[in-house]
Amino acid sequence: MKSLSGIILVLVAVIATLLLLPGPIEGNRGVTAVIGVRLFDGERIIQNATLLIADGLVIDADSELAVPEDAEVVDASGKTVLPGLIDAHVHAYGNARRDALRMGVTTMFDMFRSPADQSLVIQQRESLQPTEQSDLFSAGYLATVEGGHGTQYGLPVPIPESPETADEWVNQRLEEGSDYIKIIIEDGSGWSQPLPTLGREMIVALVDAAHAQGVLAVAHASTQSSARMAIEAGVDGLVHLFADEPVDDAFIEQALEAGIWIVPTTPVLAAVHGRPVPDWLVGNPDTARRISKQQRSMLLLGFPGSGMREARWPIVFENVRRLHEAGVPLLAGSDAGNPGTAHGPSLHHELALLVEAGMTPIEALRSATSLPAEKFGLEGRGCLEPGCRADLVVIDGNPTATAESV
Amino acid sequence: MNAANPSIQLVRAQWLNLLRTPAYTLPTLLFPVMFYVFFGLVMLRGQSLWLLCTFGTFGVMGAALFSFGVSIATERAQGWLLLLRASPAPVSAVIAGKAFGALLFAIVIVVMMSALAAAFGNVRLETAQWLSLAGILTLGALPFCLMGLALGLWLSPNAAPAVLNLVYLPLGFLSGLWIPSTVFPGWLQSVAEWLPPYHLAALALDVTGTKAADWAHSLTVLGLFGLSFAVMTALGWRRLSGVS
Repeated sequence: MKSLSGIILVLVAVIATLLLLPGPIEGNRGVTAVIGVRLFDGERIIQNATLLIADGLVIDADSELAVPEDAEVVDASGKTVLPGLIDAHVHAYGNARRDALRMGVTTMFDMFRSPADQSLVIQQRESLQPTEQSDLFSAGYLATVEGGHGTQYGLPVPIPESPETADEWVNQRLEEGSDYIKIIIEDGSGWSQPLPTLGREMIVALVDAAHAQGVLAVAHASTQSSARMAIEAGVDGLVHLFADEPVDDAFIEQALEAGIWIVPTTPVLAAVHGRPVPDWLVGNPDTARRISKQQRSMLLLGFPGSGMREARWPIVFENVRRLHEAGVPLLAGSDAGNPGTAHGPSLHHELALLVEAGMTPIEALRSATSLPAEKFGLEGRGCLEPGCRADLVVIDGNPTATAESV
Repeated sequence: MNAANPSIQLVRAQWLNLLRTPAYTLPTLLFPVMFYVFFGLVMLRGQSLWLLCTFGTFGVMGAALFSFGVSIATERAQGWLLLLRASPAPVSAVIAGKAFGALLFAIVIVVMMSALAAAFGNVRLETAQWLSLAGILTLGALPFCLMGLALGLWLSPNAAPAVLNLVYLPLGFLSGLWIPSTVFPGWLQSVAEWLPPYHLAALALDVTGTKAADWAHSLTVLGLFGLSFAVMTALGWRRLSGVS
């Protein structure tokens, strides 16, 4: 029975191959203990901490923790462990998600992109498996008017027709998988380029429609007066800081009363005010190997005509300082995707500028971890407490310098 | 070993048939594997596990449809099936021989894809998951065997390959086996949910821990699908004597 032995041979080979196929990486199955680290858990620094992780989640993190016997121990003495960083304002296209991850940015909030692959994006961010891309939350298409800001990028944008159809427009976005609604309020007056923009009634209708569906409504506003209008309309946050004039007391009072937050996006503001990116961001050999050639040329690119606005740059700083001192929550964001910015490095640029404007390093780190997670209602991100995702960023020494991801 | 057992004899005959026609065997085995390499390992890196499940489904479905459909249509035209019916071999043995060939193809395809996924796609699974993936997809070939059988009994030998391709390729695509159905537009997703390969892939995605499946629902769809082709097979078999 030669043929029968042939059949048996094939079946044995098949089963043997199946048994020999590789299993998950050892460390993933059991517990990994990272010991001797300076740990930032999203809120505070814990010295000489032990971090226990398993299956992509944090089991526990504290200074006096017993290490289970079968745990794989990683001694990271002298290093600092941070939660994966969150960039609260990007436009992710091309290699953005890979680029960002190389600089420790594990979650990004996109403020305008095509929703074509949104269900894949959602599926990927729910996974706890190792990945080479940062996770993404997205507004999808933004709300603007025909010919208004947001229509100049060549991506077709569905235009909300009238306040009566705002509900329908918002529902379409949510069906496409949008995580929040972004509204453009931009008459171009801050940039001496008049632009058509959404009217107040329309904005109120969109905000109400978003809130009725239980999602956030966020606004692009580049002047103090349009920012005030956005807050009056009831938005949850502003995804840019205005730089047309110094922030006044009335605005601060209004912002505090409404409980809104602001994403300063200082890297893109630096670029539109003709400020070159600092040398440590592009010149440092440690960061240089994490920045691709394309990213580098993007960082060195200027906005046309931005040099004329350089005199306004101190207003940005002053506004960050005053808002922060007054207690208005600031969420770190880069607006990467624009000239003068790049996904990953520009969030570190933002953190450095926030510190320069008066935040303590710990406050700046909160603005890129626990604070955006809280304001966007994300569980398990921006923290290293029991139950959080084990998205770790390990850095040497000073937490305000550049990050080195695991 | 009982050498007179007709089932074993027909399994053996099928095995010899496959060995002696490498021009048929090799392309049938390598075609879906090649597809997986292009889509799952070269183009969409990072989606290797998901696509292993869906292209695995695609592969076993093809093996089942073609080894049954085309050969049954040809053998029927040649009168070979009628001869077999006149022989002491029961109908079940004839089908067992064919089913053996299809399932053997199925498991070899899945194992080849799995090995490539592990080697080049960095896919890592528990041993139990590798085994369940191979098991689910191999057994999942059965309803498609019935479909191939029914079509083979009803189609002329010239029409069979064309019709099978016309069923196989769109069915594979629409069920989200090439591109995950999660990136389909909404209406196309609801089409996918009615197709049996979608449900076989859903079970494969579930056992590999990629996406949870509704087992009762998916098994019901696959069962009803298999049952309807079993009925068509029975009708086709009866018709055999009268027509050809």
